[in-house]
Amino acid sequence: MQLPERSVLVLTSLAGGDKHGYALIKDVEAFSGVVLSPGTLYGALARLEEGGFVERLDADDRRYPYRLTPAGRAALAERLAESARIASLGLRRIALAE
Amino acid sequence: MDRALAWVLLLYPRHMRRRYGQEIAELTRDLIRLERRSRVRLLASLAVHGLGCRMARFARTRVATAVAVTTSVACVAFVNMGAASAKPPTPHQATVQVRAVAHGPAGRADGWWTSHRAVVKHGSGLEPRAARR
Repeated sequence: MQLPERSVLVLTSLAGGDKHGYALIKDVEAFSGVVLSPGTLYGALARLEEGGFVERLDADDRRYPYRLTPAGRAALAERLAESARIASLGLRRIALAE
Repeated sequence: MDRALAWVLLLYPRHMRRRYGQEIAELTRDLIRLERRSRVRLLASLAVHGLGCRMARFARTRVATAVAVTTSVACVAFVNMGAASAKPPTPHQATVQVRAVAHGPAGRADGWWTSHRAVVKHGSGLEPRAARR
């Protein structure tokens, strides 16, 4: 499954620990500057949950925390490694061109 | 849940509304209360996203397949109707399309009618007919 950018942000946030919606939005905004809307966030969470990458935990004061599953962790690691490889290649080429 | 938010959530597909509706409402309220985000913008964003989800789901359902098949059948029927109405000209129609050419005694068109040659247009070409005196 090809992970969209927003899903990568959500998975990266959940890699730091279980979070509910509001904490996810604040965390993603803090580390990436991307401001997610509730619709976008839950659209991404729905796809990730359907794909088995995250799971919803029991409600905690009317809020449901989400947790990264082992499959989600593996998918995130693979996607970030690919991004790192492309970033490294791009940076090398820029350095050669200068 | 406030009424506007409840209406906006109706735009989401049922399965998503049931599973995440309450959470989306809670989060929207938190963002308005704690983050001072614009309520109108949040509701507009939810509406657009809800419609997007609904359309994406609609595209995957059997209803979409049924609509596509029906449209295809209608298009084929329409094209066939057009082809059936474009018949080749009948002999009767061909005799109507007659052109007369006047010739003088020395091959000049000098104003008086000595003979004429009829050219009948039939189909896509011009076919000479026997000259009549």
